[in-house]
Amino acid sequence: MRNIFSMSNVDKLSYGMDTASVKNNVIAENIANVDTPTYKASKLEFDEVMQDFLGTGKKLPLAQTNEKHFATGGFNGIPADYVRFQNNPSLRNDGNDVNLDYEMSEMASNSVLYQELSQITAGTFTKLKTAIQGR
Amino acid sequence: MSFMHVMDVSATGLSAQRIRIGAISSNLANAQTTRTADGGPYQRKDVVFEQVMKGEYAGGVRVQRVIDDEKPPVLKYEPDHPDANEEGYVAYPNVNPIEEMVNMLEASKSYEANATVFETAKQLALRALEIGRA
Repeated sequence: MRNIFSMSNVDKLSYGMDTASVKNNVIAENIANVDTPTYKASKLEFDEVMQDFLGTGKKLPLAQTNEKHFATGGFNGIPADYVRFQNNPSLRNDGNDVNLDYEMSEMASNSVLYQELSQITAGTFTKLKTAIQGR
Repeated sequence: MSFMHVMDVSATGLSAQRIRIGAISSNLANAQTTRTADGGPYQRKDVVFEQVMKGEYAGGVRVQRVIDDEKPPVLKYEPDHPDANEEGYVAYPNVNPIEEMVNMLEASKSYEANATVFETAKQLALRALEIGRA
């Protein structure tokens, strides 16, 4: 019998949730450092991570291109080299380039995405339960 | 585990901004203080933020140190003041209340942003728990 979870895409959903939670982490770090001199904002492109994951079906090899990146081994299985600098223009004297409004809106949309994914995952399990128990 | 990490990061932001607001309130309270324990007028305090690394991971922010602002004191001609010098000038603190108010608004905005991140992480962590109840 085939693995029921491979049919239900739970692994893809959970990888998506992991990615969204790592993105949440990156955003929290940017917001905490909104007043830290010389701090440069980082970003994680959700679409890019998921496209690579869905295309290859596996977690990609790791590389650490900057000391401030999450360490090799990644974070929750998300490779470190997806976390990059935003390279925003900055007019501030202290060299900080965090755009607080951008980060807040990113966080809001990311959290909606996470809730979507978790709802779909929960729905999948509900269906499995119905199939097992009958009704 | 990851959302716990987000909450830790936001908590460091909250406490750092709170310390900053503490420094600002000390500046405003002492805007007219001409006598301190070290002698001379009160010197404006400022905080220096620094990113925290928790081992290999980025772990938020902290106040690295509190510094004294080296701007010269503001001299006012008040010959009758007990702290006046021989020429009759009194050295007042280098505190500009308008500047402090602006810094306070900025710190409070940053504090709120961190509080929002904390709240969101909490909601998402609880949402993930709902999956188990299916």
